[in-house]
Amino acid sequence: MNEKNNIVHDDEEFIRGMMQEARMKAPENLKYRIMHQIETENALKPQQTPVRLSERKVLKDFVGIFGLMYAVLAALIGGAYLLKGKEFALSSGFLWTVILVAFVFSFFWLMTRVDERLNDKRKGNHIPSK
Amino acid sequence: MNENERVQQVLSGKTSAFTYFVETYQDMAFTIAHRVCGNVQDAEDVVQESFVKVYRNLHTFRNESKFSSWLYRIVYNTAITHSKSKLWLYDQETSLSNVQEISDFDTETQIIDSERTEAVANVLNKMSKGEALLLTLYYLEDNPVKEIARITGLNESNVKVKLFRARQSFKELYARYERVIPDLQ
Repeated sequence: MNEKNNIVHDDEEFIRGMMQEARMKAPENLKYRIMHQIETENALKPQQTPVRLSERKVLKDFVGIFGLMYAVLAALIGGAYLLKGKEFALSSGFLWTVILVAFVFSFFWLMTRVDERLNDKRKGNHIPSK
Repeated sequence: MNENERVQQVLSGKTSAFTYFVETYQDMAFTIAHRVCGNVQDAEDVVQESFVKVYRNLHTFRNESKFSSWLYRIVYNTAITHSKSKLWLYDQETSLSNVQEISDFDTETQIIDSERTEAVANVLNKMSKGEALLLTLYYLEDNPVKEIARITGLNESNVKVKLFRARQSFKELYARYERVIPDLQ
């Protein structure tokens, strides 16, 4: 058994020794080719534009204005329902009130955007959309 | 600095840090590609393509396996795709009874290239590509069977069986080679 193990071990060592001769060497210029391609691709990759400050402000304004609008509407509807009853809350007169509130907030949002855009143009940092 | 830190460096935008991986692994990658493709030109293209793939997908590398195994698997797959070869078809394994006689080795070349390196290269070329690749992965890189299974997509017991056959073929072919060129030893 030991003898058999020794033979197997010898074979292993023999093949291992032989195989060390089989390692190939990559051509000298291959490394440069690879790095050159990677760097070229990197240079051509469109740079990620950081989210502009104004874009972040738009989101903040949007959440702020419409968040407040929904809060006002919820308070208005809740109050109407509790104080004047279900009929009043479902009446067309009250619906117009709700629409008016929504319109006022939307108009305010629109004005904010227009103002923002005019400001951007004035500062000359408006990035045209692609 | 370990490989993980180097990977992080590359991911943070320092492209030049990738040179380390190219320098360290290009020879073995080239050896694997050459074993599969069978010629230098294709092997070069495969290695280049593989390293670019590795660079692009570096963010997907998890430390569950060694970086080298991950890279070699990509090289292996790229080489297979490139050469459109199927390494593991049964009839492609070296059947010693079908191997042409040793006289088929180019005798003239043998006399000129009587060095061991050429002898081993000749023997490996006579073997099936799959078997030659397994020996390369097992003996050159000391990859355990598990890693070889990961690289080649075979299961472990399959790798063991094929490795056993590959060793037999190698020994047999080398012995025939020696008989022609006794000075080798």
